[in-house]
Amino acid sequence: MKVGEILVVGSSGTSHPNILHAVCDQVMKSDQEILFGKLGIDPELTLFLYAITSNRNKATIAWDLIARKMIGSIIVFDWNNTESFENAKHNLSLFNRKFDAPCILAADVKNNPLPVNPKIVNPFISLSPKEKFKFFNGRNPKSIKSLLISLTDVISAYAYQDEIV
Amino acid sequence: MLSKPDNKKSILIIDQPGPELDQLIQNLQETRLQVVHIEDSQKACDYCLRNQPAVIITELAFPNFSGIQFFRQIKSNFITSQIPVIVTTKEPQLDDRIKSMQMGIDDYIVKPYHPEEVVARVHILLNEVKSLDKNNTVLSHGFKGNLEEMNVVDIIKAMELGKMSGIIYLNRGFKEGQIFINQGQIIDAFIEGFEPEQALSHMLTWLEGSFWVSLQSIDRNKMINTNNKHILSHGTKMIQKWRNIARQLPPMNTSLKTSDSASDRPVSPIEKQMLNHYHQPKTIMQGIEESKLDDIHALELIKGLLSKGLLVARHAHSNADDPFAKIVFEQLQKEVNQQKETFSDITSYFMRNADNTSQNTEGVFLKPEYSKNTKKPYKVYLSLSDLKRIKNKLSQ
Repeated sequence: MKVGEILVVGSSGTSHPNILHAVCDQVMKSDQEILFGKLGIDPELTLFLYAITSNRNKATIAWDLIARKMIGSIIVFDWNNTESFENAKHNLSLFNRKFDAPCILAADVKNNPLPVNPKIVNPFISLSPKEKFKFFNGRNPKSIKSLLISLTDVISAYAYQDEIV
Repeated sequence: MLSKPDNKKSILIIDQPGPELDQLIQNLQETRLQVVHIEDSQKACDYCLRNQPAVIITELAFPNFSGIQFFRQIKSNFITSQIPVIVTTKEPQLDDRIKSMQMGIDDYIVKPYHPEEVVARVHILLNEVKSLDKNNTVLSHGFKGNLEEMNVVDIIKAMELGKMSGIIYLNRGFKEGQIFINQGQIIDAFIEGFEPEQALSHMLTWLEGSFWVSLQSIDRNKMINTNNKHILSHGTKMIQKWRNIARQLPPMNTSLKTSDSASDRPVSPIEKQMLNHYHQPKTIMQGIEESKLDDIHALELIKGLLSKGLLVARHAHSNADDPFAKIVFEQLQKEVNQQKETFSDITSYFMRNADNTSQNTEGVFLKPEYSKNTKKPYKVYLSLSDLKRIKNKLSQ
């Protein structure tokens, strides 16, 4: 049995828990800061998702323990909340320093229309080969799934760059 | 017992025998590790107390054995509490995973496992133990860390709370400083060329770099007479002020240069002084460090010079000559202008960055900050076909 683990990190009030509720078969809350989700892919493979609330001024998460097996992460922020963006930048920087796993910086526009055509914005805020910026709607399961699919693509491209033509 | 144990590099496995285990033992031995296999929890505890294996791999539960109970025994004894434990289990139950995390189990592997993966995980833990041992020589009489995770105010607060005495060594770029604490009270501070109060005020806003605290008794004259409460409250305000200004600027490692038009424009003496630092490209932080001004004053000055266009950002891979990038940049600006009222502060952050880069159509200030080659190992234990299966499942 193989297990893949994905970290979904946000700050207070962001929609990161919605990601687990939208895709997981089973979601459990261990304490106020971590939500655990399980998604069975098939009898041989399971995905665990951890939704973690991490505000930059409160360093209480034992990242090394939680992130040891992660295959990638999603850092969520609210497109209309500057504080959540500052937190996301902090977490992105932290993850970049500590881990080398791929990451999506995900801006939740909620039910509002996208501020600009993402195809136009994306070239401006591409981060590095293993870090991508994406808009998504945290209230729309389809949009959330598309976010996770993007992460899977980034992981495949980064981990198996020699094998993908 | 399958092979002769070596105290430092022995791996203890507690599990029932079987072909999967045989394969794992063989793989571990092939990487020059000594393997000890025990099936009884009491014998395993005794072995750990006597030999302190480097890593323990234990099944979560099998007849007459509870991995959780064994783990508690190991962690409750100071002789064995530092040994990393990997738990293996048959079913990937979420509550088992949560329980293992809450208990502080170092790793968790689901059976049937790929022996190569277990071997890789054992080596990761061995490396971590090695680096922890290396750090412990320092940590035995102090602690160290990164200022982005624990700033100077937090360190002083922690020392005040514990009424600790010692020296906080700080390092940011090419600047170094020290703060001397006696029984939790700040008594002196040092940066070359600064008075103690000035040096302390300067260091309170260092939010990047590293620190090392050496806990020791301090025999030194009191050079700072302001009480901690006042200093910390001042420090917190300064940090807030720094963050407010910094948030309106590109990241601190963005390279800036004096613009070509700066020489034709009237500037104040202090602005001229700052512009002189940027005749050669330098990061924002380097300019601040070279300046004689205090950090906040220097940061405000740089912000002003950027907004006046007297300082411009430089990028190593500017694609100003790329006609496609130019078109995209113009399109983005057009869209932004049309929809400005719906834009958040965050959009304006990105756009301000783009505005400042008339020579740089990329407008990617985040890029240099996050695209560092970290050289950390990354290994996905899922195959490409596993990732495709995840993608298919999510696409349903």
